[in-house]
Amino acid sequence: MLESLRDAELVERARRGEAEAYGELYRRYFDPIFRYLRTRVADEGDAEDLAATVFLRAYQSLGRYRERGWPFSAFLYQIARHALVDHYRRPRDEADLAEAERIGSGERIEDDVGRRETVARIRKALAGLTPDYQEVIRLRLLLDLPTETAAQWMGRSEGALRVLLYRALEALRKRLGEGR
Amino acid sequence: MRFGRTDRERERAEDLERLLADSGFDARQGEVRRVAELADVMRRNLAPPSPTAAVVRRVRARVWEGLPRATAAPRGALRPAYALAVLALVVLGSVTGVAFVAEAALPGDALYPVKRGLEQAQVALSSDDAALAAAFADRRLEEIEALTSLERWDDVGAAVDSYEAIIEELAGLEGTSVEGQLESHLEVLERVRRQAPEAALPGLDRAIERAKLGRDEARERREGKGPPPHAPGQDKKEDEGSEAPEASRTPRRPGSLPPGWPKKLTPTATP
Repeated sequence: MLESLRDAELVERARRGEAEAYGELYRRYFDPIFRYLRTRVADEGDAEDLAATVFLRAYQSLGRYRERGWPFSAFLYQIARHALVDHYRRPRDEADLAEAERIGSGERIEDDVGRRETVARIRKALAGLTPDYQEVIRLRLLLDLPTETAAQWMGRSEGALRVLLYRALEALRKRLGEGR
Repeated sequence: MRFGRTDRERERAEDLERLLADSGFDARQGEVRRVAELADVMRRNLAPPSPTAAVVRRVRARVWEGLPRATAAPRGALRPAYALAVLALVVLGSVTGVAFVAEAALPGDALYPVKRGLEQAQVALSSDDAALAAAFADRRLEEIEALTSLERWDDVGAAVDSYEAIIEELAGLEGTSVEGQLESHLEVLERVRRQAPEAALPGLDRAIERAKLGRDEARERREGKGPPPHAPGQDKKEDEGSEAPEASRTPRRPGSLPPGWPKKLTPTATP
C-alpha cells in the first residue's frame, strides 16, 4: 500500500504523524544517502551517526519540505551536506574524497598490484579537483545516480550536469597525466 | 570562441552520457572514450558498498528512538508491561507507526514481542508459508548479527533460540531453497563468531550447528537420501485427531510448529 504512494504523499502522511509513511521513505532512500555519506567519511561508524542525524533532522524538518519539482531525496541530500559541514567542524580528522573512497575499493583491487596503483593515483588526483567536480563524480559515478536525480540533488539542469561531469573527468584525466 | 568550446563540450558530454549508459564502450569515440574508460574504472573500484542489513536496522532504531514521540521503550523492569500496552494499541489500530518501530526491535527490546506478534499475523494471512519462513529465518539471523554488532551479548542467547526454532521449521518445508540460504547464513554466522567474545561463542556455535544440520538435511533430501519433509509418522502429535483430506494439506501443518514459530490461525478439521 505505502509502496505505491509518491514521496510527496508519504511526506504528507508522515507530517500527520504516520510513522509508517516515514518508514517507507527511509526504506527508499537510506541506501543512497548512506552510500553518499560513505564517500565523504572514512569511518563506517561516523557514516551511521550521520545517517541517523540526517533522517532525524529530515523528520523534524518535514514541515519545511515543499515538493515543487524538488524530490524528497534531494531534500535528504541537502540535510546530509549540512550534517557533513557540522561533522567536519568538529575537531577530528577529516577524510578527503580519496581517503573515504578507499572503503569502496576493498578486495577488488587488493589482488592486482598494477590496478591498485592506478586506483591510488586516481584517488590522489580526485582529491585535487574542485568541490563541484568531486561532487558530480561522487553522485553520478560512485553512487551511480541517474543524471536526472544527480541534477536535482545538485540543483542544476541535466544538460549542465552532463557538461560538469565531462569537465570533471577531463580535469581528472589531466591531473593524472601530470602526475605521471 | 568560448561559445564554440561550450558547444563542443556539450556534444562530448552527450556522447559521454551515451557511453556511460551502455554496457560496453565504442572504440570510435576517441577522446570521449578515454574519459568514459576512466569513469568506468572509478565506478568499478571506488563505489561505496551498500549498507548491510544490520546497519540499516541499527540506524533505523536510532532514528526512531530519537523521534519526538513516546514510542521508544525504556529497557528494564517495565519492559513486559510496556510491550503489552503497545501490542494492545497495535491491535486497536490506533498507532500506525508502532509496526514500523517494532520492525527494528531486537530480542530483549520492549517492542520485540510486538514484532513477533505482527509476524504471527502475517503467517495467519499468508498463503506462502515457505517464503515467509525463509524471510523470518533471514530476519532471525539479522537479529543475531545486530545484537552482536551492538555487543548485547546477554540477548544473543534468546536470539539463537528463536533462530534454531525457525531453522528447524524451515528445513522441514518443501519448496524452499534452504540449502543455499543456510549456506549464506553459515558465512554470516562464522563471520560474527570471529568477532565475538568468548562468552558469546557457545550460543553462536549452537546457531552454526543448527544451520549446518538444516543445510545437510536439505542436501540429503535433494539427493533423495533423506525422508520427505514432515513424512507421516514423523510428528505423531500433529496427526492425532487430524482428518483433513490429503489434498488440503500444506507442506507445513499447524501441529508441527516448533516453539518460536508463530502459530497460524488455520481452520481445524472436525472429527
